Order: sequence, then structure tokens, then C-alpha cells
Amino acid sequence: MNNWCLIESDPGVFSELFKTIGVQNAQVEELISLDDEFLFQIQPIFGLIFCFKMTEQTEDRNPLKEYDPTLFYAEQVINNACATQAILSVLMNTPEVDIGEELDNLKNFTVGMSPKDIGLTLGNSEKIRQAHNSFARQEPFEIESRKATKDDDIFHFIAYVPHNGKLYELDGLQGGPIELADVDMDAWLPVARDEINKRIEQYASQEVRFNLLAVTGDLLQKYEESINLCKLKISYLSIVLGKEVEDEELEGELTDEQIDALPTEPEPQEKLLGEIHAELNELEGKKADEVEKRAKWTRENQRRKHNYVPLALEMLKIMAEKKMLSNLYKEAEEVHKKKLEEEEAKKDEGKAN
Amino acid sequence: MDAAQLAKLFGASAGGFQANQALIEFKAGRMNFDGKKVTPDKRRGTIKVIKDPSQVKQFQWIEDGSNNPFQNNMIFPGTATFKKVKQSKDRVYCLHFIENNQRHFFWMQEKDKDKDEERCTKLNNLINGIEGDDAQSTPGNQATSSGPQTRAAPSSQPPNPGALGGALGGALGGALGGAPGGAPGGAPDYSQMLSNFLSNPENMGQLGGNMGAQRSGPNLTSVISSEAKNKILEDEKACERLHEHCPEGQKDQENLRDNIHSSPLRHVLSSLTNAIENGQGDILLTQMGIDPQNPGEYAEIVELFKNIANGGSD
Repeated sequence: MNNWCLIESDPGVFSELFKTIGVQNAQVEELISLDDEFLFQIQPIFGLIFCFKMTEQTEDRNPLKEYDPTLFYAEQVINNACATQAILSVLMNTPEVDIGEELDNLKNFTVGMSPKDIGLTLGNSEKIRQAHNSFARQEPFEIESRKATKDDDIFHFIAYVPHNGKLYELDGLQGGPIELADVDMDAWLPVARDEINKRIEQYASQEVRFNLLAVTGDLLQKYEESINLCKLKISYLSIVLGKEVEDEELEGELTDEQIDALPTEPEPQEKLLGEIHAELNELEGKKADEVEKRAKWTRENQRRKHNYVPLALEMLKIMAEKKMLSNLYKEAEEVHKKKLEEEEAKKDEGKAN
Repeated sequence: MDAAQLAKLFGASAGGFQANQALIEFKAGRMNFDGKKVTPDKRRGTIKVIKDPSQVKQFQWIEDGSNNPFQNNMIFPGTATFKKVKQSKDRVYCLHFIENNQRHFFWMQEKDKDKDEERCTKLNNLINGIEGDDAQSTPGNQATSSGPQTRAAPSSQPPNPGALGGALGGALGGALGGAPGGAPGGAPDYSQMLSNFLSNPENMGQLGGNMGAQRSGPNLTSVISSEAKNKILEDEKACERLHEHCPEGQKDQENLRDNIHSSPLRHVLSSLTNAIENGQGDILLTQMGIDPQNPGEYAEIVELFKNIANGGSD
């Protein structure tokens, strides 16, 4: 099996990875909070990923040996790819997501295989590997078979996924999926949140670093659809109220149910119109934020793939031409000496006590 | 990353590596070396030695079914040996770079075991310039019959002035003569040496780690402070020169600020520091088109590299 590089676990990286391997209408978001309000913002959520710095202690769990054959579970046999693997596990178990030809083939091909073989097949997927590795941190010099060293933070990723009325914990190191609870498919989040909170408490007390990601639907698409719906309603209400209608092409039209839900009297119609205008404003703002976020992801991804050696060397040259380097070195040396003295002083203090 | 990509990294041309005919070729697998233990990599593959267009020999390992070398090392005569690992009873062989003490392990996969030794000798001779016509004209040969004895520092006296000296002259000539990229094959040789050094697992621990506190002096990351970067940003002409080295679509002032303060740039500075601390400063200077003996307006860089290498200005 070929090498998988270490990549940054960043929403922007994974979201672009989706595009490269042909996954439609999904993206990855960092969970900055588990509040209902925040979770609602990034709906639809297809699965949560808990990521924590590996500790020595092993977890004593009871993975299932036999389970729902439609549940996709892969054992982790490749190094450095556990984040990608956790995220793929969510995608593979989410019928709402168009996972694209590559993943679809992989999913069909691995039906009935052992978790270990599925892991191997995943590791051998050239397309996924290439997409993954394209985000490897640029090393200015060839460093072959770069493995995680002590200095690297080795993180482990666990996916929480609802599937056919059950909530599962998918951990590639456990050898099988872990069944957590029976859940309603539209109400699994609170259950998963409780599970994750348990982990957070455990790790927070041990000062273990952790991070949370969510695999969600395409949020830009979501905002655009909501904006369109608002505009359709505004247009409809304006016509009913005899107001001027903005000349803008909208997609589709309101369904009979949507029309029936609207008020029939002018006064509540006016009131609703105002409310929808406010909602539209808010949505436009969110859409703009999302567009800006994606532009930022693109810029950051370009930087991840860029070779910075020429920029660094040119910068050095400019500083040399400006005769800045000698002074800069002296300054850095001063700071450095001070630091050493402080450390020395601390040591002495320690001895004195 | 293969040699061609590496060369691209430094803006030199290095096309057509694959098109070269192999001087020797046999089936062998790689082994992974974590600094302590050697474990076999199960993949099947081939070891090849080729001569690239600049007449520099390349040691390659190519996985079966792949067109691109998984491993590619440029080798100058007298800088490396290929030998049987005596500690192992298996068919384990070692490519050893003397300069940086870096070792790559392989296991023979040819059917006829009896010829292992023959293949090993032939390869060792090849990479050390002991071959047919070349043999007479390379002064380093006497020393290489039992493996090279000379420690070859790239900037001091190479055992084979013909190959290495020529490449050095080419790289310098190209850079100083105002012909950018005028020495195809010359520039990447040095980066390859650098990379050989840096790919040594023993050196890896320092890479990108917490420099400064443990090192005996300042490093590039601490010398090139944020304030210094900001000062450069005020100079319009300097910025224009830097724009072109920014990623596509980010070649403007606003993005330059972000790029100059970005974490990938910091990472590169610490990798470069690591190279300088490990005695590769002169190679780097050559990369930059600066003659260490005659740096002109870039004297400060030579001084800076020297200070970093010595861990202080004294």
C-alpha cells in the first residue's frame, strides 16, 4: 500500500477533498459549540467527528461482531488517514449525500467484506489517496515515508453516525462498530451530544486536546434555497396585496401547501411580508459569510499546496540588500540570551527553595 | 516527491528522467528504517541506476506497476556505498550515504540468490564511477574499490572533481551569470543532497519542532521577526518582487501580508534553519545564486547562515 501523508484536520481541507473525489452537496464544519442554536445553524448534520490527541490508555469497548450489513464500517489499517477515513464513514452511511462515482463503486465493491478488507480497499483507492495527499504539508526537501514522529500530535478520529434507527460510534481501531442507542433519525443529535459530552468531560479533566467536526449538507446551497423561497413568498404576497413586484427570475414556484399556509387577510399578510423581508436580509448575510468562508478556504488550500522556499529566500535577499539582517540577528540573539537567563534564574530559584 | 518535482521546486528544469536507459536493473523491495529497526515493505519493485541528462547518476526504486520512482537519489561517485548488511542472514542490502550517514535498506527479490553478491558489487561500482570507460578517468576510483573512504563535503573537496565540480560550476555560472535556470540538472543536485540529509530520520526530530529554546542561538524564524516582515511590506518595489512568489491568484498586496505571516512560510523557515544548522548553508547559498566566497551585496546572508550554523555570533 502506498503512503498516506499527514494532513491538517481543517474544514477547508476536507471540503475541498470532497470536491476532488466527487462528493456533492456535503461539507465539513468545525463545531465551535454544541448549543442547539449553533447546531441548528449548520443543519443538516449527517454525522459528528470527535477528534482527540491519542493517549496511551486503550479503551475497553464492546464492538459489534455482527451488525446491519448496510452499515459501512472500515477498520483503520492505514496510517495518517484516520480523519479522512472517519469522514468517509459518515458519507458512506448518509443516503442524502451524493457520494460520487468513486465512493459509490467502493461502497458496492466492499459489500460483504470484513472491516479489515474494507480498510485495505480504502487504503488502496488511488483517487482518494491522491486527493488526500495533495494536502500534505509542503516539505521543501524530499522526506520520504514521512511518519508521524513524537513531535507530531497524533490525533484519533471517531465518527458518530445515525443509521437505520440506531446511533453508532465508528472507531477504526475498535475492530467493529459500537452501538450506542436506538434513535429517531431526525432526533439523534441530542443523543450523540450526550455521548460526546461524556468524552469531553473525560478528556478535559486529563487535559487531552480535542476537537469536533460535523459533516453537513452544502450550506451555501441551503441558504440559496431559503433565499429563493423567501423571494417566492414575497413575490406572491406582493401580488396579492397589489404591490410592485421586483423583476427577478426565481426558481420554481410555491407549492399549494406553501400557499395554503400563508394568511388570507391583508393585515396579517402585511405583517408576514415584513417578517419575510427581515428573514431574507438575515439569510443574505449568512450567504455572504458562507461565500467569504469558502474564498478563505480556497486561499488557505492554495497556500497549503504552495512552495514557499522561493518566497522565503527572496525575502532574505531583500533584507540583506536593505542591510537589515545583522541587526535582526543581534536583536534575536538579545531576546534569546534574555530567555536563557530567565530560564537559568528560574532554575536557581527552584534550587533556593 | 520524486526528483523531477524536487527540481521543479527550485525552479530548475529536470525533464526526461524516466526516458533514460538503466545502467543496472534488478528486482528488489524496500525496507523501512525508523532509526532503530528495519522492517520490510512488502511491495515488489525494481532498483535501477540511470544517468540523467546532466550525466548525474540516479539511484531509483520503482514499485511494480508504477512508472514513477518512489525513491530517487542523485549519487556522486564517492558519496555512497551499496553493501550487504552483514548483521542479517537474509538478502538485505544497504544504500549508505556517507555525507549524512543516511541509510536505505532493500531486500533482493530476484530468483537467483547466487547472483545477489554480483549484482551488489556491480551496483556499488556503478554508483562510484567504476565502470568501463569512466573507470580510467575518475581519480576517486582507487579509494572506491572497497567502498569510498573519503568524506565528501559538497563544498570542500569532492572525491570526483569531474562530476561534482562541474555541476557546482554550472549552478554558480548559471546563477551569477544572470541566466536564471541556466544550469539544468545542476541546481537540483544540491537540493537532493540537502534532502538526503533531511530525510534521515535522526534529523527529523528537530524539523519544525520547538527551535529556539533548545538550540544554542537564534534561528531564521526568530531572526525574521514579524516586525521585519512588516517593514518589508512598506517597500513597494520589494513587495512587487515578493508578489510573484505567492500562490496563483494571491499575487497582490493584501494577500502578500497574509502569505508572509502564514504558517507554511514559517514552516519553510524552520526547515531551512535545520538545513543550515546541519552544515548545508553553502549548498543553500548556491541555490540562491550566491557565491559564499564572494557574496557581494548578500554578505549579510553568508554571515547569518554562519551564525546560525555556529549557534551564535561569537
